[in-house]
Amino acid sequence: MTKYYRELLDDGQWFFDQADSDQNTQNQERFSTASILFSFMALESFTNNMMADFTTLPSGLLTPHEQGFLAEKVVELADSGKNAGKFEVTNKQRYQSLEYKIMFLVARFSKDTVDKGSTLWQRFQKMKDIRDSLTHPRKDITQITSPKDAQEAISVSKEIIELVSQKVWKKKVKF
Amino acid sequence: MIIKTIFDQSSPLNTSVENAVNEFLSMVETLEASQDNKIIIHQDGVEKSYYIRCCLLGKTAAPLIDLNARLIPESPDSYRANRKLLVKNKTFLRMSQDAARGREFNDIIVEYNNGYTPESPLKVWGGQHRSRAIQLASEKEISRYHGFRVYFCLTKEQRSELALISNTNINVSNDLFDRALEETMVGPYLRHWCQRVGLLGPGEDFPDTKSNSERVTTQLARTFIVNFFLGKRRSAELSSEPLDKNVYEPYLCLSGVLDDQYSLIVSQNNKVWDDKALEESGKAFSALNKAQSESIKKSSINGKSFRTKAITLSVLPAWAYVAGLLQQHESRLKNHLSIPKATKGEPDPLNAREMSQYKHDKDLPTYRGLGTRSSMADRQRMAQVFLARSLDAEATFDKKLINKAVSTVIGLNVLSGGY
Repeated sequence: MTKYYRELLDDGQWFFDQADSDQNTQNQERFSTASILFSFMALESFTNNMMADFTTLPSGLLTPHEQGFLAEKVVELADSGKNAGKFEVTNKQRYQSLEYKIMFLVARFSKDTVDKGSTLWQRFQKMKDIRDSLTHPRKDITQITSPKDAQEAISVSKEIIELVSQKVWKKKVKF
Repeated sequence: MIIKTIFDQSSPLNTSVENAVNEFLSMVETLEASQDNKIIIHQDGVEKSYYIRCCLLGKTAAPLIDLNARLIPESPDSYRANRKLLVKNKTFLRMSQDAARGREFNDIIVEYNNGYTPESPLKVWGGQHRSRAIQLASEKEISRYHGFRVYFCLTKEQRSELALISNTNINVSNDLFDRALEETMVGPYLRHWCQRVGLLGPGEDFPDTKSNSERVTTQLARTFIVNFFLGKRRSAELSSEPLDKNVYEPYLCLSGVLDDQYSLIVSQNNKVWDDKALEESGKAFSALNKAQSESIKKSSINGKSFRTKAITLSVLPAWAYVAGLLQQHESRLKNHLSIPKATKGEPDPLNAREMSQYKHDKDLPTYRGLGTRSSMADRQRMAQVFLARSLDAEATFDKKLINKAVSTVIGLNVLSGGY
């Protein structure tokens, strides 16, 4: 069954609670890592689902480049067929980074942009770096996580979700 | 014996009323008359209806009481206006026991009218359960004085108002109000139309409470009519191309009052009830409603909310709106009017289970699924679901179609700066 952002945040919270109540340092790290990953999965889920809402729009309302970005597909100039000379969305996958998606959603569908100098964005970038190092482990980088990191990941995810919801939907999210 | 009647200081003299009161007093023995007291004729300040207050013995009142009061006395087609007697209700049983032990009731509201069933000229508008309890006590030869308000020479509007205000102190549903208002202010046309298209059975009336029935209420029937014409009007404003680039707003008629939109449509267009396209849509919807109900009844998920999925406050308006909207789009209309095939693994054409499980990120954690609420957002979503399905005769209401339709509504609303 597909899990939505609220369930994923609940999972993140559950792992944080485990980390916070366990006295064993190794277990704390295991639970904290899981909590951070679930919190970011929640944020990814929320962002991707919002992107998907716009990919279903009838043609002509968004440019091919916007459509391609939302669908995470490559946009190319067609060199044959009825669209020859026009940009069109292809079936080739092009994954976009989480921060790009957030920035695009806010900039395109609200009359505002993300304030990259804000404390929230700085906290988001820091937690995302931790998440990235967990999902792309390398022997030359040691990433240690703590319950404090897990708690921060939950807070940051919720606050970013809140930000995007307010900007795009003009609606406060209830967790 | 001549009984003196006088009009109170707020009640203008009215000879017809005075004659009717005198006729009543000559036929019915009241406590006041037996004590040689004057009978005061009052006039209600709002609807200007005339009435008297008097006490009648149970044995006097019992045979004169008519519990099947009509809103339109001259029309034998006028259905019973009061709610159903709840003879097994604990409160009624207690009331009957009390009456048999000598309880005296007061402020029972009746209309003196011998224009139909003249043997029972006291038409009960308020206190039908008390009246029935008095009748039952009378059968046991228990007869006490009970207080009555007896109205005279009521107009159609006064009678309708009386029916409503007499029921405001008990738990009466808006559905009953709607049914009564429809009958007096518009006539039996809506009921006849619903019977013709199959939304009501032959001779069947709208339910007095939705919760006790699985058929369309007056509110829903009005909503169907209004949305069909709203959709049709919107369609005329659009060309074929941008049909799917809009968010549509199916309307939900107000309950408990005669809805303005509905009044406007039935008063401006006297051919509403003969409109062939409306009738075709009504029949198609009725068939969908039946198919939904029957398929769920035979399944392992046999629950009322699934059986009545078609007649929820968001599904019905959306369906009717889209039926109107597609009038100029022959092939899509044909698809819309056909009963969808059930989604693989599901028993019903509307896939009620999938809809009930549906939730968008934007929804509150308490959201109960698509097509369950009456909110505008839910009606918009359902309209888009039906519109999406009309593109393909073979399409079913599967998760993919539902997801896409709701996403489209949300995306379009964001682009337009709406909800």
